[in-house]
Amino acid sequence: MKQLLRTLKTRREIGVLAVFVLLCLFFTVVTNTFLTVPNILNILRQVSISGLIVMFMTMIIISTDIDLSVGSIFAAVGMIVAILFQNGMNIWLASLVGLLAGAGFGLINGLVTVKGGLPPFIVTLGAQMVYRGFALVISGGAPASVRLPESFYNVTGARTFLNLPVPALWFLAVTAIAGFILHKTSYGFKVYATGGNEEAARLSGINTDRIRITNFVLIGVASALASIIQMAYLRGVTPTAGQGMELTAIASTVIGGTSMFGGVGTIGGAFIGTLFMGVVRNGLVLMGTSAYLIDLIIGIVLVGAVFLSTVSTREKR
Amino acid sequence: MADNILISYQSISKRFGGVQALDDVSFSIRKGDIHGLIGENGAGKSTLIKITGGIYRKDQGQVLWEGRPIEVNSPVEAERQGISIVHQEIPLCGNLTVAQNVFLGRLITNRLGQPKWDEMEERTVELFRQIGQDIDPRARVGELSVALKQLTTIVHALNSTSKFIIMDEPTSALTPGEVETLFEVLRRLKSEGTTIMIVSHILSEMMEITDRVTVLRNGRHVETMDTKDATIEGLVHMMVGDVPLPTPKESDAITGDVVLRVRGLNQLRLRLKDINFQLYKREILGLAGIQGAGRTELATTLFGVHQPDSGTIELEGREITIKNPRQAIEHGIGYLTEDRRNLGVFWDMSVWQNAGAAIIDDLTSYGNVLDNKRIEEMASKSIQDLQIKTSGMQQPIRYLSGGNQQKVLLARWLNVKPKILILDEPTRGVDVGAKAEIRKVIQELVDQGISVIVISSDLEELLAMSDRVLVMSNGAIRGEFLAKDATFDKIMALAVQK
Repeated sequence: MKQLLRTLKTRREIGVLAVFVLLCLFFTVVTNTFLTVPNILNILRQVSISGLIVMFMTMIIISTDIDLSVGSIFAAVGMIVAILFQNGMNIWLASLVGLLAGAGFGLINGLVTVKGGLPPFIVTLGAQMVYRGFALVISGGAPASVRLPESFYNVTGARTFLNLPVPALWFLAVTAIAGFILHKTSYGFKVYATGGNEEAARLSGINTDRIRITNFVLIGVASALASIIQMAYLRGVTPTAGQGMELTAIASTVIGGTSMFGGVGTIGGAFIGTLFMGVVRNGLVLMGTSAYLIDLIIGIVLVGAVFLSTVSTREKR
Repeated sequence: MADNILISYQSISKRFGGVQALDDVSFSIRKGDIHGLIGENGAGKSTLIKITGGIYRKDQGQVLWEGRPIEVNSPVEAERQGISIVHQEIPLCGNLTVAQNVFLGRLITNRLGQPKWDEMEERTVELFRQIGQDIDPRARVGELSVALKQLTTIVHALNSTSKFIIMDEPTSALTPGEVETLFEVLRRLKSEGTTIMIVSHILSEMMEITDRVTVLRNGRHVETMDTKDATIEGLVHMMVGDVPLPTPKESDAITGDVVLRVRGLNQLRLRLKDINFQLYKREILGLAGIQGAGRTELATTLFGVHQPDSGTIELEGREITIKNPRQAIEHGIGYLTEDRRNLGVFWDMSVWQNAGAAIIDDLTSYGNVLDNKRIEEMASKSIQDLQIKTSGMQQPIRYLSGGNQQKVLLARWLNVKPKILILDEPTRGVDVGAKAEIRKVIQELVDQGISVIVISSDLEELLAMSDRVLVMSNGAIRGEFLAKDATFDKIMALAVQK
């Protein structure tokens, strides 16, 4: 028990969890719709798209990289799949191509960053514009709507499956998979080692280049998957979709206790961080807050939450 | 009596998690003394220094400064109080120049607040000249040798109006000549009335330089005495109990199989020139030389960090190429770095994660899934074999003392089950007791059939451990001795060759 308390105290995401619970209590008291099953399912559904990306944003930030191009990969993959489908390709096959394209975009980011020895911030900032431009060029700037076969819709975008929104189920499943990869496999260990001390990791025989590149590929695939699910849910795509998505994902990651200096962070924390962002937005809307005010408040809450969680667990020296 | 006491520790206690780092420690330091602080790894020396410097807070007890209780809560407050610390691990900004580092935190500025670099650079040159060193004040610190970095931190401390300077292992990276220079500086400071506390594992140096000496053991105060009444044997006994002092090893000519043979190895950028040597099975081969002789460069080249420009490396009679550390490990070569802080430890990780980092792929089952049973086996074996003082395998490594961190890193390389282990300064910044333990472990490895290459600046230790010694200077091997035939004079004569 004592051991448990000690671990709890030293883990940053526990501070966030406490703030999160308080926040939920607050919204439960001031609105009478917050704590209802439909609303909670709604929150889960709302966060599920960016949540898929948050898990791998967490992984990439732990290894001291970052990916600012996720929103553009999201848009580009959506357009690729929609256009292939409109031109008669089987939707399953088109989706597979989309996932591979996501992997390809990530691979390019990874190779240029790691093998080129360039800062990931700059590389993926450039990639953000390049992939966005790609989406605009292939679409001619126009949105596309898709009439998906029922069988595909049911496993990707359906609004209910056992009363649960399917995107939310994907989110939960991918969270579990990411948690397994990061916390239970040697790959996850190497991600932490690379982020904690890249030189020491290399001297320990860890192929840090490969780990970092793989992280870029994983987040590319996650962005592609998110895009396909969103496309199914909305029955359409636009080449301007996903703008600002990288910021939401980074915010959720940081609220979840991941250090921007690398080496520290968990998928559990990322999960809480994702819900946190969703709950704040949802609660504010339920309270009838002006849409103009919401971003302002969320910005303050973001910094405040990170501050509280760091203070509460800051090491006593 | 109380008038001549500068600082007095009264019942200081400090706990980290499950480890009692300091337990009711009381002693006093007289004004104008050079006071030695000695003790094993984990004896609490670093903790005491960090409490004095405001980096840690004490749990209990009082610090009296000239008879009055003081609370120092940050390094800035310590500096204001007149306390200056030269840390063991060197906190410099590598991207700044020497002068900028020396004047860090106390820039000389004109009335508009602009820094007056010319004046600071002149003062820097002057301060270095006082300790007998020429320096380019505009050189980037990151590009200096370890010894010059160390001297920069010392100059940084000299460049303040401190009444009390604490030096944590100031000589560990210095050559004998540089140590002598440092001691002259210390004596000069003492004659000007500065009080100095110095932590070192090299007891002969402590006997030479200190007026009084305090011994800590396991966080407790053992003794504070005048140095003139102390003997090295007596101090060692107070620190650890019964550990024999090293004597040069009596090995006969080596006759075993050759494990590693290096022929005509050149590496232009690292200035390695025509390296030829062989390493025998069950041998401990010492690499002697002064800072910058190229020993670490040779070691890291053998480990695949750098590629040789020419030459061959033969492992057990077969020529191999080593493109990176991973391939070196696959060939059964391990390398314990000299730079524990930057190249060794994963600071955010636990004891087991640090010990298992090089064999993480073997700690899995079902493909890549970490296997807790294997991890526990590995960790408990490592902790037991090396007698690592820790509250458990999950303890974050940052809470261990420097010597225990070093043992964890040694465990990392033992877990690889190497054929050849290269140990770069394995006992740097490690106390007498842990030194003996590490030496014992190395001897056991050799008995199991492993071959070891040791780099050490402590010549006495190198001779005590090695069967054979190679002397390097300026990137080349200058000579070879059996340890029993070697003397300090013979080795140093070769080591200072150009």
